[in-house]
Amino acid sequence: MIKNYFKIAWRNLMKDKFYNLISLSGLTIGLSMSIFIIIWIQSELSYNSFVAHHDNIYRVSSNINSGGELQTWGTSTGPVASFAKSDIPEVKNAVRVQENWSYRIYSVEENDFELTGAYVDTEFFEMFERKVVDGNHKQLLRSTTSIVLTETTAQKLFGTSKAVGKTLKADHDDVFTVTGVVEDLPQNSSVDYEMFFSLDILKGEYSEGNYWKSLDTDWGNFNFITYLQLQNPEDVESVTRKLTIIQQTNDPNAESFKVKESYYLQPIAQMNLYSPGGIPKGMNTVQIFGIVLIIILSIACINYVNLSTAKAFQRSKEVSIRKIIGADKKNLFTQFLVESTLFFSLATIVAVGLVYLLAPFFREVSGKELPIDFLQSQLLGLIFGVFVITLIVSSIYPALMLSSFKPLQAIKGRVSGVSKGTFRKVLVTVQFAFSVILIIGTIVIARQLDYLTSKNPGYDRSQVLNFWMSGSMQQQAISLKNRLVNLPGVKGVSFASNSIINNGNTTGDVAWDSENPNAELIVNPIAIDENFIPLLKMNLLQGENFKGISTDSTHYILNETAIRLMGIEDPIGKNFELWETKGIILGVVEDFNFESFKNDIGPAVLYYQPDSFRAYLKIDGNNTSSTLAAVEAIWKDYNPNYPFEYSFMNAEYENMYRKDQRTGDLFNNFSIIAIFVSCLGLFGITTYTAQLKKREIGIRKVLGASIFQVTKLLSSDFLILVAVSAVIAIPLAWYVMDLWLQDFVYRIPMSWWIFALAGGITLVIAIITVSFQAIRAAIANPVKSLRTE
Amino acid sequence: MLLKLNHIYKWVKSGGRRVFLLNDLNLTIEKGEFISLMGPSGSGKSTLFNVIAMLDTFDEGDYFFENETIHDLNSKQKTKLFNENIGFIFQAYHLLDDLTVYENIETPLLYKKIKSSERKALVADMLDKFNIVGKKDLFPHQLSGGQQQLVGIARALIIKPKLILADEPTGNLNSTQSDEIMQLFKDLNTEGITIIQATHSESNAAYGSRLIKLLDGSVNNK
Repeated sequence: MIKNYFKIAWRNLMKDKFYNLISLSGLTIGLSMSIFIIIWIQSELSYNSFVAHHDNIYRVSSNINSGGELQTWGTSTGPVASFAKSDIPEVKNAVRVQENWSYRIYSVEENDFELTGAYVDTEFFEMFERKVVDGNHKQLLRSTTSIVLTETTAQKLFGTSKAVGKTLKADHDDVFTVTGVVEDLPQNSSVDYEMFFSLDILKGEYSEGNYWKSLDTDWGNFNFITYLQLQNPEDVESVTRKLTIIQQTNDPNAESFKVKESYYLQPIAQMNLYSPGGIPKGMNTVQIFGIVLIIILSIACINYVNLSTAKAFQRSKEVSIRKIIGADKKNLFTQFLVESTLFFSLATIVAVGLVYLLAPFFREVSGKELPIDFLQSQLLGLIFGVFVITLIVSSIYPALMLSSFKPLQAIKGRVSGVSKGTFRKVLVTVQFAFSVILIIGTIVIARQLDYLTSKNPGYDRSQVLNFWMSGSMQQQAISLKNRLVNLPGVKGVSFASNSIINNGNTTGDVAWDSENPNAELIVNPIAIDENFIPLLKMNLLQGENFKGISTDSTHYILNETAIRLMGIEDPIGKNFELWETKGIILGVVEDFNFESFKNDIGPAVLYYQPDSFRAYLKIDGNNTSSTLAAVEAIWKDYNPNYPFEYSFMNAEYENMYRKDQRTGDLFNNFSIIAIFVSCLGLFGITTYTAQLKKREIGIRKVLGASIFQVTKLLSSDFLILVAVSAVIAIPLAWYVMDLWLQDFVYRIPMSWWIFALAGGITLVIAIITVSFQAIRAAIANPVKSLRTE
Repeated sequence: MLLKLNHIYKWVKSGGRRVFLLNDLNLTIEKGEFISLMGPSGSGKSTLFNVIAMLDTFDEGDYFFENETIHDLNSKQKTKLFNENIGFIFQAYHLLDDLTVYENIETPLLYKKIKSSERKALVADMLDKFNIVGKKDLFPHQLSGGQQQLVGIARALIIKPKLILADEPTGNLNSTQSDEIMQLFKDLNTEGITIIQATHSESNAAYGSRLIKLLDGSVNNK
């Protein structure tokens, strides 16, 4: 019997090729997009989960009090790990990681490579379960000249993973000996470095004469990402408490922290989707994509339901005959279920193929190295789940409807509920409501990203080239500046300590004349020279700019926010102290964004330093390539071995929003697909309606109806539905997109025209889809349609 | 006695008034009869068929099929009784378009959950009996009307029904084909199958053993 069901199902599939193709493409596209979203979400949620016991590893975030405001940083000080390991029994293992910024180029003989490395405690490999491919696992980083490579790095540098004992040079100077080769670290993790250095190198930078005697007692520099492996996840609270007590008793500046708990232990799996303080950040996006997944699946299912029930009219005769020759409801229900199952299986198989085919494109859009492995049990399970759920959702109603026809009426073509199709109308409305939501989402995201890249950050970043000096450049900064200024095409040169696109530096080591002796403020210090403010056309509100004279070393220029937070009135000439250097406030600059627009503008302190590491060049842009070549020639004079690395501020700026841009692109693609699938369904239904009404259209035409009137007759019903769906969609979309926008401190308003535009676009697309069939039916010769009836 | 209808009334409401489809209809049919049912359009032939086939209900009266009292059965029991005892033959044949001749005849057996080997034997017998073995793999649209009706009859007979209801079985056929089908009915009747056929044709009606005339929803044999 079951064989027979499959036989019938197959013949039905082959018979009505046109509609089955429409239905199948809708379902296939929907399913393949869902698989992509599942893979994407899975990858977002599986961050750092390559470690088997990742639930037991935590990143230590530090709570800092800045001007009465609690800030949580993802980094912590050196002593946290050493105390945790020695004094807290619940801590099984503690590891510090600091990215190695000191070197950029690593060379083996004549070949140069750029690699990312990190200083780590030796227990790192144990905690992150790295198999040692080559070398003695007990002595991986035994000295300050040891280096551990990942397998891929070893292959890249030496052509073999048996690299122990070989040497390489860092920045053409320091020699390191490979003492171990370990398994690679996955990209989807917080520790995807290519090589590892001993933390003893950093420890060696301390001496008894320093303010902080050693790295393990330095409570002032938040330079490390500290990972703690606990005995038991239930110990989080007690470990947090104990760490706080340790910090409060040992840190000489603990007084000023004034926080209840100095630390927050964040599960490492949360590091990418939550802020260091545990506030969901990227999680919003994951949730929105979860919604998109459900929307796309629903649209695909609705298509299937609509097309199958629309087809019910054609199948009513078959159902009746079968009933009369002995089929009961169960037989017929099973038959339709088998048909759906076959259909869905086919769609799933094609969808899986499509996923493989489109994987490169999808990787490009998402910017992720997504693993597409259908044999992976979790993914397989999820796809199976999607298959079963969509199958059940979309096959039960048509199967029930089809199997419950009254045979003698149906055989004569009097089928209740088929031609009216109220249920189908509801479904079409839902489907288009989803489409409108997606279109609104697309517009809002695109507008917001546009806003971010075009918003004035408080300075002029156009035609500004900047680069980090390297080699001997910085020692000869003054002569370098003279050479650069005189290049053709260069309008101005300035040196500063940081990138002001995304400045990461902070310090709490400031003092000012305040009524409150314990006042604390974490500020963003940026060293600049006298050319910086005019070069970037920043707006000096009060006082004056640095003059490039020696007294400037005790002058400070603060931004509005800093002045406001410190509560200084009439700031010019008032005392200010940074890193124990007493001075006065020389000027006040208008607030500018030195971080992403996702963050508020913080307090900034500009101090004078004529020979900082980062060079900013304003160029005229008339002949950019020759200007660049001239700058590169100068660069090569100072360090012939380094490639000239530079960036334009505008490009850097766009880079900062790349992840958001990708989210936008993904969203855009998914919306287009969702709308396309909806229209496929609408197209199919209109075709059926036109068929059903063939006779009515014929009669009307004979009675003198015009083509326009007939088209209107066929289209108006559906277009009203689309309009209704827009009305339903707008509040929902408003809610969801408002949620997304909350991620940004600077955001666009939700204007009414966005909704109007989305509704309009949907309506136009729907009109085109519907009228295509409607016009075709309307211009058909009525004599023919009447004769066939 | 095969079936007996006593004072059957069936009506529909139209504008608050009852319109009678069957009006005090009395009919007894013995096993082995070949009834020809005649009457003008709207006289209630189709309604009577549907009532006999238990596919439609009636509003008043008693219906006995063998020793079952139909008016007391629920719809599931009625469907079962219908499926086991009655074969339906249509004017428009109503074969399943997507199935071959063989499969069309086999389908009722599938629904009766007859085993594969037995099914094969039964279908082969039937194909043989109607001389359509050579056509078994063709689809309905590849057959002539008469051949299609043969398949329709074969399909009705495969479940070995006690009663065949044929609603104008030759309405779409030419006279030669029509006579062949009628002769076949007569032969089947001789083998012991009770047949009720609705027809407009006097010559077809003559094949029957008894003529019943229907007018305005009741038997009118005057």
